[in-house]
Amino acid sequence: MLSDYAPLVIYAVIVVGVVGLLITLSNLLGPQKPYKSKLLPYESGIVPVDPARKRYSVRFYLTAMLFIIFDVEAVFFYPWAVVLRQLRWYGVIEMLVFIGILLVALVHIWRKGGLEWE
Amino acid sequence: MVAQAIFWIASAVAILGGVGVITLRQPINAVLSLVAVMLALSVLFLLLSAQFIFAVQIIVYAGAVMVLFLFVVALLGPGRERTRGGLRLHWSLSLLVALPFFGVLWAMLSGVRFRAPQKADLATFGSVQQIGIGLFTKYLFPFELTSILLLVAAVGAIYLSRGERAGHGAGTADEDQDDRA
Amino acid sequence: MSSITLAAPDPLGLYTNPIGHWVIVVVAMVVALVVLMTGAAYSVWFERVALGRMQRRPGPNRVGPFGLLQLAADGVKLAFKESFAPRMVDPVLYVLAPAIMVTAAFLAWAVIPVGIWYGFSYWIADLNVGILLVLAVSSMNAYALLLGGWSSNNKYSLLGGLRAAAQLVSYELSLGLALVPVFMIVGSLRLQDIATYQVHWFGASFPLPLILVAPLSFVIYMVSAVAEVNRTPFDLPEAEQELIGGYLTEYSGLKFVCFYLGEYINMITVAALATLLFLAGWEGPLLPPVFWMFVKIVFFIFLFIWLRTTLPRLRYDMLMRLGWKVLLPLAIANVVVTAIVLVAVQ
Repeated sequence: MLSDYAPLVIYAVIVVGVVGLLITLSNLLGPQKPYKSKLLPYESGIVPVDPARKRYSVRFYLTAMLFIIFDVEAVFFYPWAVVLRQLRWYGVIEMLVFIGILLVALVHIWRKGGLEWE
Repeated sequence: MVAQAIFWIASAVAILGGVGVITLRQPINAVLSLVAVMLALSVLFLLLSAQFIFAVQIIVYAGAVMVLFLFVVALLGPGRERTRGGLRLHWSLSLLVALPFFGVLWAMLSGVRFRAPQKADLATFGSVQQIGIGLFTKYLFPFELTSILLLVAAVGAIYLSRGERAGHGAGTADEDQDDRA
Repeated sequence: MSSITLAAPDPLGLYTNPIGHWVIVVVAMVVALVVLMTGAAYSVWFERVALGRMQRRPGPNRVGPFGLLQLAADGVKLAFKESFAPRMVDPVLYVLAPAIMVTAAFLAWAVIPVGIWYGFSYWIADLNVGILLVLAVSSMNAYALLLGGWSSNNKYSLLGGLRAAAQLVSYELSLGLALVPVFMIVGSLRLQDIATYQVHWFGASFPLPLILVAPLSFVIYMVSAVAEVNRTPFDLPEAEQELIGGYLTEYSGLKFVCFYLGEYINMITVAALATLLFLAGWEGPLLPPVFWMFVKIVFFIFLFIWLRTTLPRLRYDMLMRLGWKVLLPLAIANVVVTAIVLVAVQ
């Protein structure tokens, strides 16, 4: 089984090498003439006032949390799907219970406005 | 032989990443160290022939949980962890906790006898099909319990984000708050 | 330890020789990478020509015949541009972001098989987890977007990166769930098994494009895939009018190329996956498999370009609503219905 992954390892090494080469070349080729206004962050020609790393909407955070919940759910679907033909109705009913409980979660999130993006 | 080399590399990355998580001062660097730990762990799972767990470890931990951490860091702004303000007797206290811990660890590990697994057929062990059969027959109950855990997590996530809004509104998390916010 | 299973004829006995075997493996991988990069470059050329024609202008036509060398010229130009990092960027993360993007894009091709000739297909690794590896490496793109946005020290970059990552994770869900019916029908996650799936009806077996049995999966997959690769109408992360270039704003030279390369390779990847999963891969009448594989991938790339010229960009709240309130419930319902039907007819 492990030998299946040997080409993956070799390929990963080659890919990292190629990408490393690209990044190195990006610093070697081309001129390096920095000056002050070139190094300012580009904000459509206006001189930037605040630092960029400020606080942003917490909505992104909620999205990421909900993503984890449903991602874990999705991960359980894959092994279930490949053996469904062997599990038959037994498998369908098992998954209906699982999905049913998660639908409660989805409905709760929905009704509490967790899916709204204001 | 190659597998052993990969094991040592992955273990080194995992341990160095773990050290990085607690020593790096910039939160974003600490998060990325933890990502390195997660990826190294996935490689260790793979070396144990757990291929499905290998993929899931990357998808769930590196691809979802750590992305959440990164979101938090990106949302919170530039803050560096402050170097001052630690406990007094910081060092002696940590030694007091760490020494017994390492002692227990040593005592446990010195009793371990390593052996090859006897029954597993490595051609199918850890494959998606085998995990599926196991999960949906023998370990069905824990699997169904997971859905309740996820439900609790969903309720918690919603509560947290509602609580945030209630912070600068009134005090309760009622529906009519939306108009005022 | 064995490696790539090349089902090719081996008259010189090169492949059975252990050293020759590894040489072939490495050469084949490098060739695959070169083909992928060239493919990405020519998708850009194809996109520019197709966009031009749809807008009644010629598109690039000066460098080489039909402008075919335009991308080579652009590549050389970009390589010799100054690749500077603005003040206050985080130097390590600023470089890491494009590197992650392009590495993830390349790694996805580790498990994607390509039909070359009758009974001869090429792939790098044949894994039991198959397509899960593609999903795993493509989830690494969120890091490229977030780190690129965060390290640039630019408000537009950071907001673009946050938007892009939130969009990516939202549509990753429905994309993954859309594929579940396919796994049920085939009973495997290996892309070889899915692409060469055959049905046995009335004593005959023939390849079946799974779009016929899982049409809803196909629709959900396509919508999510367009969102995954950040293309119009879901290209909000780079909405020029409001965010300049999004997370790309502060990148120049070859680092900019890395992001672009990653993006276009990802587009080819989702096109290839659509081909393998829903259109019976390289199967087709009369002509050899490599032709059919190529035509189907180009068809999907054309579809993406066509969408870009046809549809206006969505607003961000509409995008999130579509992902969470339409596609996610639809994908779950699709899984349930397919499972019931599949077990009932079995």
